Amino acid sequence: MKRQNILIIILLLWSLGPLLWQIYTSFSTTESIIRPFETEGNRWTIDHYIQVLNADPPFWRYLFNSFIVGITSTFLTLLLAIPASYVIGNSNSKFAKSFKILLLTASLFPYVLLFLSLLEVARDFGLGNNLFALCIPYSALSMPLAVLLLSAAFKDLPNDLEEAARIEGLNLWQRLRYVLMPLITPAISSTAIIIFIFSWNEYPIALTWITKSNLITLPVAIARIAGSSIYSVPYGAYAAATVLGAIPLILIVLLFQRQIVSGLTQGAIKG
Amino acid sequence: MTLNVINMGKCINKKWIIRDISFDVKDGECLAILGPSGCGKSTTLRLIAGLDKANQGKIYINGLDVTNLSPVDRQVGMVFQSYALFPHLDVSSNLSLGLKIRGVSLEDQTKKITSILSIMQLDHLSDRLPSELSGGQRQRVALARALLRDAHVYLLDEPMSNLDAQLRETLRPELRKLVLNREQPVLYVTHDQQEAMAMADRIAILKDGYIEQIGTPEELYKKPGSIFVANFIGRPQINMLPISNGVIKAIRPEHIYIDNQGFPCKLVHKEWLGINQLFFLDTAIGPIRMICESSVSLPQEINISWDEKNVHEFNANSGKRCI
Repeated sequence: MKRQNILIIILLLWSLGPLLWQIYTSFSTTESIIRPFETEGNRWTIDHYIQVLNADPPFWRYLFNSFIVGITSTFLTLLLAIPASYVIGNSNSKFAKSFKILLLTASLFPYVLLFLSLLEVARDFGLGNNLFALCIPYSALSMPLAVLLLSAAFKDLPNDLEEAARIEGLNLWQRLRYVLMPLITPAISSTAIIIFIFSWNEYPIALTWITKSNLITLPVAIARIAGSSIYSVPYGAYAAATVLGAIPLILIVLLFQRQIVSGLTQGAIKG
Repeated sequence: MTLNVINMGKCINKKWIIRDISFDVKDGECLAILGPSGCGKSTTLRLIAGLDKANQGKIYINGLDVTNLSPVDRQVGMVFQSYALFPHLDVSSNLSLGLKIRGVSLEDQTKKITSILSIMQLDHLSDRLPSELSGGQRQRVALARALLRDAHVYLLDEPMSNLDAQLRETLRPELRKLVLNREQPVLYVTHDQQEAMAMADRIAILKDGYIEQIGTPEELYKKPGSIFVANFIGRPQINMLPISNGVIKAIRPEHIYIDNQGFPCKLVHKEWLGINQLFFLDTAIGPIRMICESSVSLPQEINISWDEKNVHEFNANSGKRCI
């Protein structure tokens, strides 16, 4: 075997190891979890999955909640970020440049520091226990990165294309709809996935804004499973829940992987 | 339909890119805007198209003041130097997008596109993407898109500069036939004097943002208004003779002939051009270029002469033509 193949395998084990271990654990009986390498009679089980799926409220409810929040935040972010990026990407003014630096600063700010004050905001405006309200901080927090990625994509488009469209009689909306957005689809879809993953995984805000158990999102639900008993940690159920929670994300990423890669590298090199 | 430009100017960061540009283009007339790179040719075109706003002057299309109108309302057809075809749309969608936006019925769209595709000999390529076309084919698609615009004015920005020399020559008559036989004014921007002479009814020579001279190709060749124009028009380049009494004389290489009574010079170098040959001569008044038939063979030492009527005279200070 070539040396680079060995390196690839080590790298794969390194990054996939925890995930594989989680899958392994989720199918192990409670007894075998604490003795992972012993081979005995009743090694494998799907009880943890049955337990998680049959809980009250059932597990798919959390998936559904997270999905709603993810889709809505993604849509809201793109709705606001695309026009903003169009302007920032096409403008050479000092204002646009300083705005970009501000955005970069914002995207570097650790958002966990914000959640207490955000909680105050939620309380004052009555935004607690509302899935759609959760989308407001999510899209606000994703906005800087989204605008940076999309404005780079807009900037890379040759000016001639938009000018040709203007000559053809397309107004601003039509130019975005028929010419510019189709051309930056890779950037849009990779940005969308990044936003979706962020809101799918977000924990502190979801934990503090939502208290009703049928409205909580996936990370909160998984944490609840892990902390459901004082005397033991239900590793099996916890592992099963994480696997179930990861499957939709993996499917989405596999589905869009080509766009993600080309979108993230867009703007890296001038064509 | 006419295009009138009056004292048009564009100023960016307190620097005038072009200034005091005035010209008229009549129905079906082709005016070439010719000049070296950076002289403001493309800016002139962009101002007329409405892609940039003029800081000075007026633009009229068919007598209507369009100076402050958007490109849509000016109804111009434009071919970009890069062609600017929409890369994600196939040829027929590239052509139909504008028609659709302008509210042409689906039936008419199909009719118009089919007819323009067959005129352009692109029928078999209608479902190709621009990236799958050759340079010449892309140019024709860009032209087809501009022609479908039913424009009041056509603007062509170096439409041939991305093509190789041979293709350029074959496309020239085609382009003339397709665009210039229309009833609208055509503005043709180029840096290639040969192309300008071949395509245009009149040429405006632009230098540093000002119009240096405007006239028919023949006028520019026979009566260049300045040293710049004389140097720019005509290949091989005109011979500039040394200054005497504040006057610079110039004589074209094709007007010099061998004459035993003429003044002596030495043959330095020659270029064989096929139909004729170009001699580089060293004389007492500096180097001189001369054109002869290709059959002539010259000794090292020759005598040359020219007729006074073919000499152009320019003021050495202003660079303008005397008389």
